[in-house]
Amino acid sequence: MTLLALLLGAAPADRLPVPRPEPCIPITGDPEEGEYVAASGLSYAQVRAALNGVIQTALYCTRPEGLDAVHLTYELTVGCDGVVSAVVLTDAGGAPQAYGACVGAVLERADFPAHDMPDGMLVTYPVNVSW
Amino acid sequence: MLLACSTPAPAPTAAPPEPAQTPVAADAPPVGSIGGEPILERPVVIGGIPNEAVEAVIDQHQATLLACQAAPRAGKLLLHFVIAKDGQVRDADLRSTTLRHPATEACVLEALAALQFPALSRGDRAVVTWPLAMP
Repeated sequence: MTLLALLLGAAPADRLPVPRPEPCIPITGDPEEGEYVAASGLSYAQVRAALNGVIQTALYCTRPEGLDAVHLTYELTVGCDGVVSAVVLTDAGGAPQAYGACVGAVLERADFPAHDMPDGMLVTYPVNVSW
Repeated sequence: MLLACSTPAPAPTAAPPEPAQTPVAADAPPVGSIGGEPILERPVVIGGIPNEAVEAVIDQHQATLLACQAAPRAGKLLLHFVIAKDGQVRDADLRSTTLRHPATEACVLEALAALQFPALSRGDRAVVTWPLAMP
């Protein structure tokens, strides 16, 4: 079976590589030394770049019948290793469950840089789709 | 001479048309457009005003901003605006929304444009990206 055939038969998310975890970034500053300690997480540019890198693949998700546009909202938790640890569809915007799950699976493949928030970083992602 | 008269060969009938062989790209790019602008929990202030000073003004006027809420459900807005040297708001716009309620969003932007921040300590403008949760 060719790679192309594999791609054609696969779920849209399977077109994307599975991100590899990276070592978490330690928080700098020593509170015992009286230093201010604060995790900074990822920047908007980093988050945007990671999401932009995968979102077009979600267009391979089967268009819900009878809809010209859908607006979905996801909450992603990005672990400090840069891997998405949870994707929750908080608003399906009228789209069927299967469609929301397909786009969510694509978002799970977003490859973020490692960061310094040990409990993960929450990203709200409103997704607008039109056909 | 007798010529063998063979049954005339049937006139060739037109072969049934082949199904149109429209070339289909093996992996055609999908149709449509998709995208969105993420909303993080942390505000970003770039310019001559401390984050705390921006937060203090927004907190002080939180009730006004939240009074705009006319949507039937909670959501988040990502506000983007410029603070001029004199502390006035310029170019307020909505970068992203989960609310998707134009009347609420327009009201928030109008209220935001009326806010007065402290004058900048340096530079001509500060650029602010501010997430606002609408309960």
